[in-house]
Amino acid sequence: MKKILMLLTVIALGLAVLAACRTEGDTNGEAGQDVRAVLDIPVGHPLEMLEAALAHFPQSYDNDLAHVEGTTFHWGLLSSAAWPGIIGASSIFAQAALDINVAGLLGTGSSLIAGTSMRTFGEGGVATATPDVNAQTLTIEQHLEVYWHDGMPLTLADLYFTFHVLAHPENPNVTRFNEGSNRLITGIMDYRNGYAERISGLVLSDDHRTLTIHFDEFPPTIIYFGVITAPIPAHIFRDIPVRYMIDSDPVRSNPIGWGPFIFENLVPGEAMSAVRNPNYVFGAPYIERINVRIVSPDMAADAMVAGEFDSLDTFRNLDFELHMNPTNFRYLAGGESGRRYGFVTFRMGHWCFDTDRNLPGPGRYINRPGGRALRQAMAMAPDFSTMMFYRYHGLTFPAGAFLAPWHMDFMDLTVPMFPHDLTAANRLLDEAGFTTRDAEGYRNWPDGQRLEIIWAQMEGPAAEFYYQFYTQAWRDIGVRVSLWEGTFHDQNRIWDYMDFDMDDDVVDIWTGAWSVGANPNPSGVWGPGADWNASRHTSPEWEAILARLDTTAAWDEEYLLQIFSDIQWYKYNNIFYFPTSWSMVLLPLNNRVANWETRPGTFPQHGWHTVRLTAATPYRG
Amino acid sequence: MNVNSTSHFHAMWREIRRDKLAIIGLILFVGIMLTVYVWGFFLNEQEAMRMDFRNMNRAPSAAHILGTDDMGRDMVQLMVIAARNSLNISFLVTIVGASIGILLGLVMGFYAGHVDNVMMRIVNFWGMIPGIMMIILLRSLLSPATIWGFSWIVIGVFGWTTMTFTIRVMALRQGRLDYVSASKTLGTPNIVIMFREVLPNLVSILTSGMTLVLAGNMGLETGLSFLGLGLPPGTPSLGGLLSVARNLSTMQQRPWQWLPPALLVFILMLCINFVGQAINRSADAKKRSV
Repeated sequence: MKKILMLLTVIALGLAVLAACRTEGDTNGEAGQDVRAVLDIPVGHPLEMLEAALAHFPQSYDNDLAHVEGTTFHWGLLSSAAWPGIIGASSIFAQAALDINVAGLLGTGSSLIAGTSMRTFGEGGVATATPDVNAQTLTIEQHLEVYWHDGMPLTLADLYFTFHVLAHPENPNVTRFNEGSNRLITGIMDYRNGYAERISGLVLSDDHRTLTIHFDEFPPTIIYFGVITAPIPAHIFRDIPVRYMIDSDPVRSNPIGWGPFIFENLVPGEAMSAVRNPNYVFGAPYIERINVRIVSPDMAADAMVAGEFDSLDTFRNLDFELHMNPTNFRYLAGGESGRRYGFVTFRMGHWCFDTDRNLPGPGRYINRPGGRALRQAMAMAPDFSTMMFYRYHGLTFPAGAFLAPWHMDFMDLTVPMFPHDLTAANRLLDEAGFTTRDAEGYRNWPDGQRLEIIWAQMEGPAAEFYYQFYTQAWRDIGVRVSLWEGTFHDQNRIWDYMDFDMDDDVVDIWTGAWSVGANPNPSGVWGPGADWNASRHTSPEWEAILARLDTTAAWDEEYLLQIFSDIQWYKYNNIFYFPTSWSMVLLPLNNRVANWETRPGTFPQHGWHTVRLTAATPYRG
Repeated sequence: MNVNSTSHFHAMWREIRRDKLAIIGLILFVGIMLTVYVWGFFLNEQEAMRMDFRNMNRAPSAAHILGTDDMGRDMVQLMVIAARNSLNISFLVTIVGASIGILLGLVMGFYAGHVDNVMMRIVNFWGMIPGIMMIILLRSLLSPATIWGFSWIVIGVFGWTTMTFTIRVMALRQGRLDYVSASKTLGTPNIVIMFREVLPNLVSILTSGMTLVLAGNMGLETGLSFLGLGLPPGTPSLGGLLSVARNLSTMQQRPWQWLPPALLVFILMLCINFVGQAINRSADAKKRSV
């Protein structure tokens, strides 16, 4: 009898807790509306929505409190997967966002040139860059004495060396080379193809204080950091063959940079610590030490509340609803806002290892007859607008163009997107011949073959949600989509699989999100030479459009806008990928952190070296 | 020559009936099972699993008695489907595991000697492999796309060793009894002796063993799904529903999303355990109170 009583007590206790939560829940049930009331972001064009969302959060924070000496800054980087840990020579080898974040701390991937608020070459940095359109040259001049962490002086000879590593035939990372306008430097292709010892277009003078870069074509996008401007230490890497660099000690375990913090310790895949660089060129940082740690996206917001971190590299917009009024931290509008977009990519070609280029793959599954209508219908089926409105409350919204909001000046807003319309999507498929259906109601290809799209989806807290979201939308138009190998995958595994293009490559679509750089030239991610171009799509027409962008003639504003308009129309018509979302990126900042800026163009007046910590430990919520 | 099974089960039932906890457990368990399977039968699963953007994360209300999950799906319907999947998999793993165990255990116990010796080494070796680690390993290697694929992995690794040991010991004991020797003398084929004469005598042990294994398998499924190693995406299970509690804020602010499934798992496992213990006790004449 005692046992029964105990059992009943336990159950009753459980129900009581549930009932208690219910009363509490009643107020929470309104939470959804509250967020919308707090933010009050109107549903309109995504550009307006981004502007409205940005207006709700400050872009900087400072106070009068003094810095507490000897304090440690705790920085959390959100990731569901292990950190690949490329920490040295980041300007060439970095891949993941995590690598790039850390590169800024150590100065292993920091540009010598400061940017303006328009994200073009500006004044105030270690060096300046002066473009000369008529001479087709970019002149980089060094103004400040800078030293690497090991005490060696940094000169433009390091940058000169960096170009030679970047363009080296044995450099496995072709992505960075294809970004921006690097490939337009005079003589760089001869060097890359092994016909020349040196890049003839690079001229060092003035005791390594001036680097003149000659271009074959001098496009206007160069001023948006169109060439690599973050040097790697030549004295360290000179003796390492280029093909082994990415796995060498200075890249993986003992990086040398020139940034505000000096590398101290690394826990592979998980964490890193760095200490103050007293000789930092813009002044020694206030912060004594910085600890960087990978945190699961699921735990990050609560870790912020618990005072485990002073800041995170990003904050999931999903978490905002549950942490609307934090007591121990505040939100800033993150610098990533307007850079990030989500996308669905169709795998339409192959990577050719001999030429390091994307090749069209007419035989690929998604390219079968009717494939284009299928892709368009798949873009129209998901109701991004409604879903994002109720899930993110205006902080994430459907993408409004094929370019990221940062490149708003180049947008042609007359290019249509793919509005949610099930009827139109179904009609499109019917007209394209996807008329027969199998027993479960899924469509077949026009030639009668069974239609099944294989989808590589990354694992993570949101994986199940998006799996349900997309499969439901695509089931509504009769398109069967199955997960690759029937399950979600580790991010690193998907990247490897996509990169190596094995013969058994069965993946047809891939969903992801990334942040673009300052340069509006899409060659770096969607171009024929981009290995990040997971669609693997290219065509003579596409290459012709991109080639027009790489000409001096594009300085003509009207012509430039026409090119970007063509780029967007081409993406719309050929739909090798479609953007799904734009995001406002929140940056959480513990209340003890002062003097933080997220506006572009504020470096070097503001940066890691000016951040103060006004308490010994992070405040707890 | 058989033990009179009617009176044996009668005695068992009498014993179980005296245990109020077991009776409550049995009634609750059968009630939950009936609810889950009957309701589940009439439920349109595709409709129940459909996202409803406008009702995401709703607290319990008249429209949704237990609220909605982060995809706007009704928690009650979701729990019915999840519980059915979890029960299905637990039953399947238990039954197939027991079948293998019965077969191997009977053979080992009946033939004894060298057969027993050799097979025992193999089973012992298999039993030493850490199961959870193997499941995680196999799971990432094989990526089973279906519910059944997953259950076969669990069966292959776990299901049968314990049952094999139990049956073997009982069969060893039975094999030395007179009725077996007598049957052998009469020329009855070994297979007939094993399955028609020895096995019926082990039914009570088998039932109690299987019931306890069922509870264990249920816990196993819940645990693996909670860690994200369970059923494939898009297949709700009780452990999968529980996994929202991995996020601290969700746990604190949206208890309706994880507390009901947690309670359901708890009640189910308790019920099965109580019933199992009662069967176990009643099956053994020495432990009976009458």
